Amino acid sequence: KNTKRREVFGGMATTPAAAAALRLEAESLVNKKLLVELKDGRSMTGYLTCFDDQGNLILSQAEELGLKITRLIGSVIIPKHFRTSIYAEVEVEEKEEEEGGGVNY
Amino acid sequence: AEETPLERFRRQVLPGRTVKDVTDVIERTCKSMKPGQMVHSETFTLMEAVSAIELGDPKVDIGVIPEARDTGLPTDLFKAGRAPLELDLDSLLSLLDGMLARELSWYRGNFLAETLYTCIYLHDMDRLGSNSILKAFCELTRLTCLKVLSLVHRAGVSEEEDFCIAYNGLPLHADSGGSDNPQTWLNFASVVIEKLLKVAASTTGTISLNSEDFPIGGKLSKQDIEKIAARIELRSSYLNIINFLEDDRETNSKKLEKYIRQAQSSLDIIAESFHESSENECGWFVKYLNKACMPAIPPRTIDKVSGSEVIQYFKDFLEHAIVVSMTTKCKNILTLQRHLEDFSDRNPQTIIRSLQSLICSKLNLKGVVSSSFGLTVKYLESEPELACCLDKCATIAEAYTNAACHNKCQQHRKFKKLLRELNDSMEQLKVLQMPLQTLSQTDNRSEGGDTHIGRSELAILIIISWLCAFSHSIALKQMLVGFDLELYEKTDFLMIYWYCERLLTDYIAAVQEWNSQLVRMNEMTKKGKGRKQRKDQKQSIVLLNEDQVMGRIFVLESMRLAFNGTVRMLAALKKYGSIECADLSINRYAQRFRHFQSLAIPEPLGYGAYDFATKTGELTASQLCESAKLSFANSLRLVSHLKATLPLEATENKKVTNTLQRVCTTNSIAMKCCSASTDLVCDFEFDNRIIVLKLRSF
Repeated sequence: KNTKRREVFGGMATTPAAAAALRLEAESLVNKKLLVELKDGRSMTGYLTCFDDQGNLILSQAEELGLKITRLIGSVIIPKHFRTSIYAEVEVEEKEEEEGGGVNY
Repeated sequence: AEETPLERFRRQVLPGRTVKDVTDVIERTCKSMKPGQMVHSETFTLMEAVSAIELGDPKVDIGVIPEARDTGLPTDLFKAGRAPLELDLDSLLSLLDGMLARELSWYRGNFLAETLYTCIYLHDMDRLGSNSILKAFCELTRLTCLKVLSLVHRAGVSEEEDFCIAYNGLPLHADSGGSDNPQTWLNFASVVIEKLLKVAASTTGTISLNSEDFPIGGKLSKQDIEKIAARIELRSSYLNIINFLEDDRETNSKKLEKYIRQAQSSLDIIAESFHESSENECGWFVKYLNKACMPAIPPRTIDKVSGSEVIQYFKDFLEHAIVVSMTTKCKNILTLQRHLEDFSDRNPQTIIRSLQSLICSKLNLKGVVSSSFGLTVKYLESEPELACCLDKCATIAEAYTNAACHNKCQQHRKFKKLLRELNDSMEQLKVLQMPLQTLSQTDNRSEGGDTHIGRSELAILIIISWLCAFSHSIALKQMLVGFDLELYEKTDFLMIYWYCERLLTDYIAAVQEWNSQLVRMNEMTKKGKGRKQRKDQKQSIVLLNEDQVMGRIFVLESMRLAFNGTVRMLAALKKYGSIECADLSINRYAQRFRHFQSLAIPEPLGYGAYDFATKTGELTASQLCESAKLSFANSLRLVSHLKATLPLEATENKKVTNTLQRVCTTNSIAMKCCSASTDLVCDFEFDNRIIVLKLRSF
């Protein structure tokens, strides 16, 4: 029964509720501050403005973080193939819910 | 160990928040989205997407370029020994000349961070203490940058493409131990120069200058030491000249002459010994040194500047500085116009244009403007309406000087705006005039009884006439500058010169009207004398220089005749089939003179007037040639008459009269050849924006 009710979300089988929660979580990242690590070793912080189905991100007020220098760039597009990891600054409550809750991924 | 970006990000998180890895969240959400679907903020626009920099593309992302990534901070480079303080002569001169070349590169519109401040030495002045030569040169360079940025910003006569005033993050201001006072470092430089020249004077053969203050390796001759001193002297003189021109308290022209002489002699020495860019200097000038304060996109290729270009820049600067220093001699708008036009024709660079604009803003424009009206400031300020007119006209004059100090491309735009302001001012003055007119009509006292009201009304009429004449002169200038900018096609020349001739006709009429009103005012004032007058009315009101007015009319009429001849000449050539003229359509005419259509002054002429005036169906080609020759001859006669009867005025207008003589003589001869033979090919050249016909056989 559970298998029939699962749907495929982002390439992984999951329940509809979990899929919706994941979508909501992704949407809630818009206007949040992110740190994106890039393939060439740089890191970029900025506020998420937009992302598309190709995995491209647009950050506003982007800053390139070097070891000693921070460089203010402005608006940047980060192609999917150029990034490795994405970290977001989120409210603590969200994390506590995640740890305590039963959302499937 | 150094903190990683992620650790720093975690550390900087606000209370009540935490950092979470959302890579998977984004990935899976993106995969679930339909093709073309986006998740975005409410304020997101397509413009933001288009203007964002794509990371990973080396054309737009400077961080991808290895050289940019690997460039360390200035402190790292100092530690690596990239900026030695003990240099031999060739290295020292290469460094100093490299800085001069990059400074010129900055003046040409590139970023300071991508040009001059790629020099490592400029990033820590304190460490230069053991090398007085470098210390003096670098401090003066820094102070010059500060001064230039300040005056270009204040003058506001440049656009971004001309000159970049961005300098965020660059160490232009002195550290805690230093000083931004130019005099401190000018004095220091002067001591260094004196020491060097003393050593040079006492040198026979070669010596070693490797001392505490001057750690220069190798043996140096007298000329070698003078080469070093010359570069510091040039820096010093350049800054002194800028300070002098900027400071309105400076009136001692001998001081300026001294600085210019010093700079010129330094330039002569530098010209013979300029060190062009070489491999060596790559260590001192680091392209991405200031990447933190450079634009996000990689710098465009900056053209190398040669030694001859550096020398030419400074030579031009010195020549223009002399011209700019004469600004205070301009006592009326006419002389100021002539001065600014002459200045503009020299194609001055941004810095000297900024200095010119700042000097103009410090002129007593009320005095200049009132001299132009022909009325005293005292009289004008005694009447509220007239004082208001004077203020208005002083504002117009300020707008004119600002426009005239821009480069020619911007002048073309600015003069259009100025014409609209002139028209608005004239409308406002006409409104002022109306109540006074009503008062004078109802006043039936005898002529000498109360001339007070009549005089005020006449004064406003004089001002309106002057504004009308000024408006025509601006319109004419705006049309003619189009030739410098190559805005017109050859087929438009007939139309353009015809319109210029019409502008001159109305301009002359306005000047004559203004002059006759001024004469009336003078008579009115004289009649009032001797009778019972108020104390303030006994004093002179009118400043009338008949010779200047006559000279001006002669020059304008000569110019008008030259344009008249040019129009007929072009019409004749068109008849011969030697040139093509534009299809005489209303659209082309309206398009060309569109910006005049909304103005009252100059009067926007309809297409019909142009068509009628240039319809030459009734005249044969040879008749047109004769008519052209006659106009050119009359123009030459007027110029000769001016020189004979008003030599002073002829000298004041030398540039224009000489141009008219050259052009009219050449074109007359060309017209004679045209009449004699039709197997000729026509070429056009320009002499001060007036066309000169060159003929050659097939």
